[in-house]
Amino acid sequence: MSNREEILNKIRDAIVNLDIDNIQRLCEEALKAGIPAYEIVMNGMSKGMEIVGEKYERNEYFLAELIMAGEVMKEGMKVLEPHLKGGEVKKIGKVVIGTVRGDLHDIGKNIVATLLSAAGFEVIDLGVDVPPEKFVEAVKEYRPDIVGMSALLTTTMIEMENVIKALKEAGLRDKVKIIIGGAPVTKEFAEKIGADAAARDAVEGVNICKSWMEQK
Amino acid sequence: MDLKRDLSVRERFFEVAFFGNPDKIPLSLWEIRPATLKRWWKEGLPYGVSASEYFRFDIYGLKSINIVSYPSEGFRWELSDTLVNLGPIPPFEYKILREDERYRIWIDSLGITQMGFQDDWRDGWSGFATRTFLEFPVKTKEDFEKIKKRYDPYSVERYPPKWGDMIKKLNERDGAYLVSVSTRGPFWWIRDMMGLEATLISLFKDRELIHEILELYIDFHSKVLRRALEEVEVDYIILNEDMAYKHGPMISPSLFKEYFSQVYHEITSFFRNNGVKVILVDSDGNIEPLLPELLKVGVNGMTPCEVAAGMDVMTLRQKYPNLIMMGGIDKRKLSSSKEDINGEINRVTPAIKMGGYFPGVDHAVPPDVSFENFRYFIDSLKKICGWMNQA
Repeated sequence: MSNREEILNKIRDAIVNLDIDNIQRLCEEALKAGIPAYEIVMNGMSKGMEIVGEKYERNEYFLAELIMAGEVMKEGMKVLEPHLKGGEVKKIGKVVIGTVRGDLHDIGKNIVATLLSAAGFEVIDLGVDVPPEKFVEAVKEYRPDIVGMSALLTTTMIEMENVIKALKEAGLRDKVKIIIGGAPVTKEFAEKIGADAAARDAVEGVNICKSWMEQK
Repeated sequence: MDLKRDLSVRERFFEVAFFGNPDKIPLSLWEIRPATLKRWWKEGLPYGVSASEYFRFDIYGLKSINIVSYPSEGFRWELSDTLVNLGPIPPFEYKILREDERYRIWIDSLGITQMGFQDDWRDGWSGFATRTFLEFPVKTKEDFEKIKKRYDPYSVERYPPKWGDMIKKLNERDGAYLVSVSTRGPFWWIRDMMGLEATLISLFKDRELIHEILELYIDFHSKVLRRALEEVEVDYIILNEDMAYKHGPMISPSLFKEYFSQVYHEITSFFRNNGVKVILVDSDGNIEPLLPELLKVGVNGMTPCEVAAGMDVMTLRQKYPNLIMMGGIDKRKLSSSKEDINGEINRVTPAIKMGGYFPGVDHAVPPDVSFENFRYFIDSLKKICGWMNQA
């Protein structure tokens, strides 16, 4: 194994082992060894996040580990960001994400946004209480591959259907894939309102988005 | 099910809880929240009358008096003059920081800054309010040291002026109702101080702080509640946690063991040594991966067994033969057809007959459930539970 590979594996493992104490030192070491920052992100930290996601799917890791892994990655990024040139890290896709109108819950949406970024997506987070017209405007402006919507309550998830209708009316529905998530959301509901997928949790959501990009 | 003489509320509770021979099964029913009530008042429930009054939850439900009070996130909390006060004393000053037509940003009595919809709070809580949490009172050890002062177990206000009257009344109840303590569990306790994300991160990053917050939990609750438990016989405890969601618990069984097993062991031992026989954990979501450990450390019951998260009372019964369960009926089915409601009740009927289970909706009844459907649901469930001849 080359020195380069060894350092990247250590960074990957630091993410998997939630080693917040050493991630910055390892990132600095990698930069000193001449590894470009984007490669450290893509072949070190993102690989680590991928493994964290797999462990979560297998119930070896839970929400706490998922959030902590995101935190470790953020620490590493503090070192790498000044070395990343604009556009150097190739994004695998673009996602517009938001909690729908009438709903202010943002915990799940934020976790999904963090994991999407870690997986290499460009994420445009519209925030909470987002009306359909704001989703439409964002799709026009950013031309995303995917629109993600979140809702906590049975009474607010119905708003997702209004977003889809608005996208249809604006002639944009076929330009994007739509994924929905949140406590009350089911695959049946997604089918009923014309979304492309419902994610059981954040990791499944990211995997679905990745598979869509691979199919493109 | 063998029928025998009418039991008292207490006798019936323990007969069900410990797989005995109850005459009827009490239903586990939540207070109907304002948003749902508003709908039902338009659909036939007499205006201004609560659903619990109309449907006589006092007869069919778990007729209980909870003897403690603490602030809920979002609310203004005032010291009770009849209940044991388990909140911060003094409470944080409830204050609206900013507001417009649509939103308000405020600090609640727990010191949490949050943003909510005016419509959810202007005329009192709507019952299904979502919020964005902006700031929690504990971010550092220094913050914790400050908040700790508000949890002095010996504050004179912990026991209210009318506590003596309350005790007299409770001790004369003669089995006519249950006495409970519904309070924060250790996970909820930390989350109220730090918020969910910071709590989860601190489990890895700031172990010492988490242990200190948990030490305060045990010290505070055991010191404050000792007197209450000595003066009145408490029938059951609910430790509110909400530490799971659809996918599973928010923390792994190993993190639970590292931080919470000892705390649970101590608090449940304290309750048991003071005569409490039923200790339930209240958590939405799929908390099943933590159940084996929870049972080991002294918990013997679970509520509300949320179906949408995969908590199925029949499966739980098979895996945990002695587990006491409450809830377990899918709230989402109540807004569907009567056939679906029947199907849902039929699904849990074997568990009702096996004992150890108080059936009820697995969370608050949402406002998409009609008054007619709820009436049908209650009537059907009452029949299964042996209440056919009651008014």
